[in-house]
Amino acid sequence: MDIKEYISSGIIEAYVMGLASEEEVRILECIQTHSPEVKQAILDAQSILEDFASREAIAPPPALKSAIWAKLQEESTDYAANMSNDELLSKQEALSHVQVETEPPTSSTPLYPSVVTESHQSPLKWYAIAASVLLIASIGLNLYLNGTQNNIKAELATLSNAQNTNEIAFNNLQRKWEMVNNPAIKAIPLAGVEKHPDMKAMVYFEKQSNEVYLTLENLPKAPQDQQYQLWAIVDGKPVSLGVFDQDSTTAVQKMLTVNAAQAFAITLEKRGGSPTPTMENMYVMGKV
Amino acid sequence: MNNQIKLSEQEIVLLLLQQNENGFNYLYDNYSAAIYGVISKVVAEREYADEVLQDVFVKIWKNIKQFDPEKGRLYTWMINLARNTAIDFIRSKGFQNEQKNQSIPEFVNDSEKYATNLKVDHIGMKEVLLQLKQEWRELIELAYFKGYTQQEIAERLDIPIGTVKTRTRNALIELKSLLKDYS
Repeated sequence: MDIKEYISSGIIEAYVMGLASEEEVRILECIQTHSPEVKQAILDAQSILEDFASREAIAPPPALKSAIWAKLQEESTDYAANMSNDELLSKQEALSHVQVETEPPTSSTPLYPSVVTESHQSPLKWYAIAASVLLIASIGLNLYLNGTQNNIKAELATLSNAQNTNEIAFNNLQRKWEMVNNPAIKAIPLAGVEKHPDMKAMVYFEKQSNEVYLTLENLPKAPQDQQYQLWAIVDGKPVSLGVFDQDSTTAVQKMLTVNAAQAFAITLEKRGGSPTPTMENMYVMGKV
Repeated sequence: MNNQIKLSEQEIVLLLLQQNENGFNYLYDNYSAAIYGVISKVVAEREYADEVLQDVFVKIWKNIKQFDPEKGRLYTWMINLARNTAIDFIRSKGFQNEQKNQSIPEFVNDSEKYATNLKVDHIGMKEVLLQLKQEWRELIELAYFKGYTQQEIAERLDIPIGTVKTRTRNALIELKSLLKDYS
């Protein structure tokens, strides 16, 4: 029998109608994996029955939908009761790694059981129930612990952020404190000029090494494209001591060294600094 | 769920595997009527059909992992699941006993009874099966909706087994051309 004869023998129609014997089904399923023609013939025959079902569709009573959904929810929780202890243990283990997963088929339930068997008397059922209670408790505990752990992690992150900020502030303060208490260092307050009377900065000048440190006490945060630039007035001429490039306005920054400055001043310049100060943007100034 | 969304069978299977509620909604909205139609052909009583529909959805839900796309479409799989569940239901002891208690004869002789059963028309359109020649109609009835074996059909209709197959083929070819007229 060639393939065309086989296809038109009626076996395919018998198969899709559920009439074929077990042996015929086995043979046909084997042939269809090797013969695209047979496979297509099966799909075609099945689509006739699909069209038939669509054509003869009857809408079920509307209330059934929610009833069925409720039943499915119930089934999902009952599901654990059908698992053996071993499966339960491995399930528990898997669950401790993954919170959401679909469960693998745990037993080969026949797709079309002709007799419904229920083991009401089986002691296994009670083990299963006990095991499922344990599973649920364990899942609950897992979720709880996981939730708690997440909270702690978030808290820790916040705290360590806060601590970093505090540490920076503390270091700045300590450096200022050291400078103020160092007799070799002279603290020079730079006061706001006429236009900006409230502004203030501090320059700490180390007389022996000529090192200059700057802190911005009360200057507004510089715009993104601009920076504060420190100038020393030496013999009446401004000498750049560099731009203040710290993120934190409370930071202490070491500037360039300078000999014999008579005064210090700060102007707002373009990012990176200017060769000469923009006088109308002078914010603070202080005499040594 | 938006009815306009069209999901592929593969996407539906994926949602069902995740036990996704939208997956259920989509499945129910798009397939429950066809499934209920199939069940109603096997189980005529409404209350029992409702019960079987519920069983079928539970089985789809639980057994979706066993669906093998290599062996055919999801729609066919669900239709067969519905058909087999319904046939199992009318063969179950409880149902048979109940029928006996109500002293309804199990089978009166045949074709007339089918014709009466099938006259009940749920959606106001003419039954497709009623338009088939009787020899094809009773074959589809016995095989597809009653779950009889070739042997049983051969005995019942008093025809050779070989004829059952050829008649099945012709019945399906005829059904196909009838359905074509509708679409």
